[in-house]
Amino acid sequence: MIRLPHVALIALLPLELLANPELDDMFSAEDAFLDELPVILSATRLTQPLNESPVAMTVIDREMIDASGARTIPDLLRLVPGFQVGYYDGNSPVATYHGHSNEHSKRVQVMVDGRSVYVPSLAGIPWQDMVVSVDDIDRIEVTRGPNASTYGNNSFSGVVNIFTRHAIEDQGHKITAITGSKDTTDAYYRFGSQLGNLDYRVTVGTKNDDGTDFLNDYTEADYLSYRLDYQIDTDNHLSYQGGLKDILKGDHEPVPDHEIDVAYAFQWLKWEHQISDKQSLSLQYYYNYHDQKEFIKTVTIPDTPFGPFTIDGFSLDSTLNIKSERHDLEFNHHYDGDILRLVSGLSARLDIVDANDVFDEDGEQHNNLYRAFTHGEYTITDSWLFNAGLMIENNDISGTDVSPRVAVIHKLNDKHSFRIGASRATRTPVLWEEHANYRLSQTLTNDGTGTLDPAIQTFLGGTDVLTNQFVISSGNLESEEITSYELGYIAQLLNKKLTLDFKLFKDETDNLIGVVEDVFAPDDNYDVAFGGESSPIADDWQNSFRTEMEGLETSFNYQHSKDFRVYGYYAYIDIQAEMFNPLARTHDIRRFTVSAPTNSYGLMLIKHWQNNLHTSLSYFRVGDMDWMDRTGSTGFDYEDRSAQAYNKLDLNISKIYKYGTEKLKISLTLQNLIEDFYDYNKTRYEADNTTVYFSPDSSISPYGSLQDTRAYLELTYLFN
Amino acid sequence: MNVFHVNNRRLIHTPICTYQPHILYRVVFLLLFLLCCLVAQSAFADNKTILIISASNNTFTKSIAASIARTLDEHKFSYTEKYIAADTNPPDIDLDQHSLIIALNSKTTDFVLQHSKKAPVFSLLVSQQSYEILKQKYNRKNWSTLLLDQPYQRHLFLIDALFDKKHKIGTILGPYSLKQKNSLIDSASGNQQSLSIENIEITDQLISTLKDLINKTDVLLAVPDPVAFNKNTIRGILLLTYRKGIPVIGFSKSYVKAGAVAAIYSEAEQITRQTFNIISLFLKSDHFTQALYHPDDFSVATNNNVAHTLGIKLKPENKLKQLIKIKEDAK
Repeated sequence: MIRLPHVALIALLPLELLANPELDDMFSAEDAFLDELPVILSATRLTQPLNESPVAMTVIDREMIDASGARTIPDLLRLVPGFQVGYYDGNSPVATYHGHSNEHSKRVQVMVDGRSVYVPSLAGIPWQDMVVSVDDIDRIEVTRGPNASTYGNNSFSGVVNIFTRHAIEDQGHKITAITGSKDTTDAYYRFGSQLGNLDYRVTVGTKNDDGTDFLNDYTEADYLSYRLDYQIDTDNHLSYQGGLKDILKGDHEPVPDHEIDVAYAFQWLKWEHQISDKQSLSLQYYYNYHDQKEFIKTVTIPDTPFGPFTIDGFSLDSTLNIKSERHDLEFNHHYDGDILRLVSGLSARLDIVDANDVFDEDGEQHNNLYRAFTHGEYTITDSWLFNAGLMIENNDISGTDVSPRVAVIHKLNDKHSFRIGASRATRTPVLWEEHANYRLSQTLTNDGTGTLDPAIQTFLGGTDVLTNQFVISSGNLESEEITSYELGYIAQLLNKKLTLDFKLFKDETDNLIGVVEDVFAPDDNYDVAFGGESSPIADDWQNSFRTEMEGLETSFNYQHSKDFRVYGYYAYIDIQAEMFNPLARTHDIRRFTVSAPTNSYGLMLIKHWQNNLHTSLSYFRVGDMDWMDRTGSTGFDYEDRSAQAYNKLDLNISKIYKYGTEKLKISLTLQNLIEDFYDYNKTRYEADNTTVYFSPDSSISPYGSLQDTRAYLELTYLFN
Repeated sequence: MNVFHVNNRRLIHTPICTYQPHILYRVVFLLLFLLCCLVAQSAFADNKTILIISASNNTFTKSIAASIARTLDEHKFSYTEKYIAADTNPPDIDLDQHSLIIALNSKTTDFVLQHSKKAPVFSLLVSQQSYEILKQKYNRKNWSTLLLDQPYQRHLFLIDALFDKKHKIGTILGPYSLKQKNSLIDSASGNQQSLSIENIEITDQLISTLKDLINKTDVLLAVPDPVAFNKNTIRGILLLTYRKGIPVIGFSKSYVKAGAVAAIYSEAEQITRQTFNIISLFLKSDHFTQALYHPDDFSVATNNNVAHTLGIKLKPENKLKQLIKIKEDAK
C-alpha cells in the first residue's frame, strides 16, 4: 500500500465559488442533511399526555382561545370544569378553582412561561394587570388540584399555566382593532421576525372600555411586550421576555375620581442547555414589578367644636399605594430516561413590598423564600406508572413547608387509563394577612393656631395625630393547608377522536385564614373619640376555618374532524366548612360552603366551514354561588357579591380573506345572548328587576356588575 | 493513459530470453528498459491515485471521508485526501492526473468539474437539487453521483409504516424543490396517499403557509430545500406542528433529534459501502454503470419522546425499516 500524506488540511485550493449565491444555496441544501440541529422539542417543551398526567388537567388550546372570542384570560377559564369566573367589576375579573375566593384569587397559582404572577402584597392574581395579550398565548394548561411539589407554594387549589408562543411562530406584521359594547376600543400591533438564530416578537397595544353599566369600572390600558428567542448553538438556547403596562381604571364605587393607577412590568430570562439526549438544565431569572396607586376617597371633616376649642376642619385624600417587587432565580435539571423522567431544582426568591399606612412597618418589607424540589415519573411497566414529587420551601413568614405529591397511573390499554393520587400543598400568608396595619391618620390643629391644644392631645392619647385603624394583624399565622385525593379515569375512544376525563375528588383544607372582627386596635384614637365605640377596634386575620370538598368533574373533547369539534364539561362540588376559631365570623362558614356552585356545566362547538368561515358557540350554566368577600352581615347579606344561577351563551363568527400572503380577518363576537346576569357583584333589585335598591349602608356598593348582551367586532390584518 | 493498477503495483513483463542476444539487441533492450523505467517513474511522479477531495468542515462529511479512506486502506487502494479551503489561490495540483476523484459534496464537485477535464469524478453527499444545477452547468460524461436524498417513495412508505391508517400528508416546496413536485405527486398517488403541497418562494412565507397547511393535514413531510427547511426554519416548523399535534417526518437523523417523529437517512457506513461498491465496479470497468444513484441502504430513526406525547405508538426502528424494504421489494 502506498499511502500519500494523510492530512485533512493538506492543501488550500481556491474556492472562487463562494461568491456565487446560487452555489451557496446548493451548499445549504446539503447542510440541511448534514447539519447538527438543536433539540427544539426538548423535555421542557413537551406536554405530558393526558392519560399520564399525575393530576387532573385541562388544556385550553389555541383553537379554543380563538373560538371563544375572549378578551380576558379569566373568560377562557370558564372552559375548565370546577373553575368559577366572575367580574368583581368590569375591570376586575376573578377566577378561582373550587371557590374559596374573594376578589383577589389568592388560592390559585398562575404562571406565565414559568413566571409566577402572584402578587405578594395584597395577595392574588392581578388578572387585568398582567402583561399578557390573549393573542400571544399558545395554550393554557390548567392543573385541577394542588400541585405545590411542582410549582411551589400557593399552588393551592389549582395552577393555571399560561404558555406564550415561541417568537418564531409569529412572523410578519399583525394589526388588530376591536370595537364594541361598553365603548370598547382595543387595538394592538405585533411584529415578529428572524435574524439568523434570533427570533423576536414585539407587541404594543391599548385596551379601553367603560366597564359595566352601573359601576365606575372603566379601563384605560396601554402595554408593550416583547420576546426574543436565541438559539446560541445546538445545545444552548436563550429566551428573554419583557413587558410593561400602564392601567388606569375606575375603582368600583361610583365616587368621582375614585380610580386605580397601576404600573406593571416584568423581565424574564431563561437559559436552557442540552447536556445530552437525555439531560438538560435551565437557569431562569425573572423580575416582577407591580405598583398600584389607589385613590379611594376624600375625607372632608368640617370645623368641629370640641369643648372650648374648635378643631380645624381638614380634607384628607384616602389613598392606598402599594409597590411590590419580586426577584426569582430558579435552576432546573431535567433527566428524560426511558423509564425514569425526573425534574429537580433549586430556587431563591425575594419579595419586596413598599407601602405606607398599610403594614405594621412603613417602607420596604422583605420576604425571602428558598425552595428545593424534585418530581418525576417512573415507568414500572408499559401499563403502570408511578409519579411522585416533593417540594421543601422555607420563607420568612411561615417558616418551612413540605409539599409532597404521589400518584399511580394504570393504563389498562391504549384506550383506558386510571389514576389514583394524593397531593398536599400550602399557601403562605401574604404580607397583608401577616402584617396588616391599615389606617388613616391626620395631624389635627385647633382654632387656626397651627397646633393642637395639649388638652385635646391628652384626649387623643397624648398625640396630635388622629388615627383610625381598619385592619390590624395579630400575625403569627400558619400556612393554609390542603390535602387532595383524587381518582381519575381517561378514555380515548373512536380512534382517539373522543377523549373522556373523569375525576372524583376529596379535598381537605385546614388553617384557612379568615377575618376576626372588632379586635383591639392599639393605635386607634378615632373610634372612641369620634366613632362612638367603647374601645378602639379593627379587623384581624387569623387561622380560623377548615373545609372539606367532595365532587365530580368530567369533560369530553370530540374531534370529529379537523373542521368540527365539540368540547363539554360538568362539575359537581359539595363544600362543608367548620370554624375552629371561636373569634372568627360565623357567617363565613356559610360563605365557604356556597363559594362554588354545586352544579356547573359548559359546552363549546367549533366548526370551520369552507371558504375560511369559522364559527363557534359556547354555552355555560353556573349554579348559585357567593364570593367570599360579599359584604356585611345584615339583611341583604346574601344578595351582594353573589352570583345567582345564570346561563351564558356566546357566539363567534369569523371570516378570513386571503390575498397572497396577506390575510384579513373579520370577527364578530356576541356574548351573553340568553340573559343578563351578575357573576360576582349582585345588587338587590326590586321584583321588576329594574329598580336599583340603594343600600342605607354606604360601605356596601349599591350597584352590580351587570353582564348584559355585548357585541364586539374585530378586524385583523396580517402581512409580511 | 490510465496507469493505475491494483495495489499500485506496476507489473512489468520482462521478456524471457533463452538465447544470447546480440549486443545491439542488448542496447536496444536496455534503452527500452530505461524508457519503461522512466515512464514508470513518470507515472509515480504524476501520482495517479484516487483523490478524495472535500470542501466541507462538516463533521459528517469528515467522517465519510475518513470512512472511505479507511475502506480504501483495507482494500489496499492508494489514495490521497485533500481539503479545499476558501480564499486561496488556484489549484496547486493537477486534478486530471488522478485515476478517480471522489468529490464530497456539491461545492467540491463544482470545483473538480471546473478544474479537471477528463478525470473520472464520483460525487457523493450531493443533494438532488445541487445535482440538477451541476448537471446543467457541466456536460461531463465520466461523472457519477450518489445522492444524499432518499427516494420520495421511501419517505412515503415510512409514513405508511408509522401509522395504522392512511394519513393526509402535507409538505412545503421551495423554489429549489419545486422541480420535484411531480415526482412527489406521482409517488404519493402510486402509494394511494393523500398529499397536499404548498409552494413558497421566500422563507418569509413559510410560517403563514405552514399555519394553513397543518390545518388540513395529519403529518408533515420535510423535503430538503434551503428556502423551506433549513436550520433556521426548523424551530418554527417543529413548534408549530407540535402544537397542532402534527408529527414531522424529517430527512436526517438530526431532524429526529430536534423533534421530528421519524426520519430516513443513510449512515456513514452505508454511504461508504455503496461508494466503495460503485468505485470498485468503476475501477474494473473504467466506466460508471449509472450517472445517478440513490442511497440503496438506509436507517430509520425515531423520536420516542415526541411520538409518545403526540399519542403515537411507534414500532421499533428495525421493524419500520423492514416494512419499508418489503414495500420497496414489492414494487
